[in-house]
Amino acid sequence: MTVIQNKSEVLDLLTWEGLEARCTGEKHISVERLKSITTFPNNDASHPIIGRFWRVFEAWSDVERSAYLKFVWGRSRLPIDLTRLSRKHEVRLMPHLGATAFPQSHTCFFQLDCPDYATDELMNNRLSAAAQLCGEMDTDNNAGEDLD
Amino acid sequence: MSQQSPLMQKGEKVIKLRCKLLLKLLRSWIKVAGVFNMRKKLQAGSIASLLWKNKFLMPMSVSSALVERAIEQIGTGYETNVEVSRRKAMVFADSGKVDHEGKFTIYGQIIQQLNRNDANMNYFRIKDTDAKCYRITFRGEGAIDAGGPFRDSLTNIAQELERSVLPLLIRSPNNRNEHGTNRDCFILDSRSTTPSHKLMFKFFGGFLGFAFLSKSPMPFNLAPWVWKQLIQEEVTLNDLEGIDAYSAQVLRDLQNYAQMLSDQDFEAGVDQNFTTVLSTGEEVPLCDDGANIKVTKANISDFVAKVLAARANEAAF
Repeated sequence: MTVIQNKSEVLDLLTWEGLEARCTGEKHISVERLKSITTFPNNDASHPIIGRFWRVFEAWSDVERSAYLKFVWGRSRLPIDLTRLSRKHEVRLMPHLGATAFPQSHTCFFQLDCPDYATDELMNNRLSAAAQLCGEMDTDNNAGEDLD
Repeated sequence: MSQQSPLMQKGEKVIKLRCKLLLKLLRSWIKVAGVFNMRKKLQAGSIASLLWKNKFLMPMSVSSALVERAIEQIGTGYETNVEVSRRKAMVFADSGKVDHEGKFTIYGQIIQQLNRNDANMNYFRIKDTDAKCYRITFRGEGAIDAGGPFRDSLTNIAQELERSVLPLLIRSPNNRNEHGTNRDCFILDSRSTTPSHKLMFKFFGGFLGFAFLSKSPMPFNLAPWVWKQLIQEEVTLNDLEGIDAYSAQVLRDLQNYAQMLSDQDFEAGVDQNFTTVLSTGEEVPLCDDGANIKVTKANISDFVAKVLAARANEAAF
């Protein structure tokens, strides 16, 4: 305990709840908080993909929402303070990806490249699958030269 | 809905006045908070201890402002480089072994390099939520680290720490027993005491410090028990309940029996010696020859205090 403790006076005015919130963010991923930092830059505000995305996201559990965040961002939780993020969440509609293709993500830019899915079911299926299965990154280069 | 709280009945004028007073109090608090030497917070009767004990009254906005002000005084560090093979870590994890040396897991690979690069851990002094401690290369995966791979490695680290591949955290008894509160929480593993373990714990603290400064969330599920101890708060029987409800219940039952039963009945009905089971499952004596000293009505409060102390000191390395 003393090894990881920091006896700095900075901590003296915080409660343990305050300390935890700062260090770990919230386990519960709030739809409203994510909405507050999300844009859909490639299409107009009335496009059905926007409503579809939020219906699908809202139906997910915190575990699924967490996996989605990790897929598009690397992080699995939102920080307590969203005002200092240098990149905000972008969902970009990419019709050329094919109507049933998997989505792609750019974690450095907090971006999802999203095919124009025709139904909520299809979107839910493709997004969850991508979020559950993607543990590695292999798009910037060719993977596989090192298998030790 | 026709019932009004006593405060509402007093009318708008009184409420406004009270709000004003409260604001005034908070403003004064902010002013004085920096003046008193908080190092005396554990000293009974000091003003620092009074402020410290009442900090829960301070709204989050006020304490955050004070924390931000204090953080501004801390120097900013710089980014370093690490290279990690996640496949090597995966192969190690699949073997079922535990990374006691801190070399094979993603966490182990990262901290060995960080330690070599700068043992003073300046890279953890990061204040922007999206800034990096290190630029990470995942060998064989090919991704250029403009932030994504770094954040990904933080998530990997948090996951590894809560798995048995790393010996730093264990499930709390409530978590293992699926009983009581905080069933998804972890506590420190008190059996990990070698120099390699200590290095790993030191870096665990480093990552927590980084998360604290930058507000970059590290998805740890630590029990309130651990957070309280991190800020040097005393842990009580209620806190023990939050990690080990069964043990807390036994102590409460003994306290109740001591009040309800006669000396004789207590003696006849209670078969408990001065020993206790720690979170790791290990049974330890609470004093010399504890296994042969019986708990009686006369020494019950001493017993409860000793159990709490033993639990609080489990991971006091």
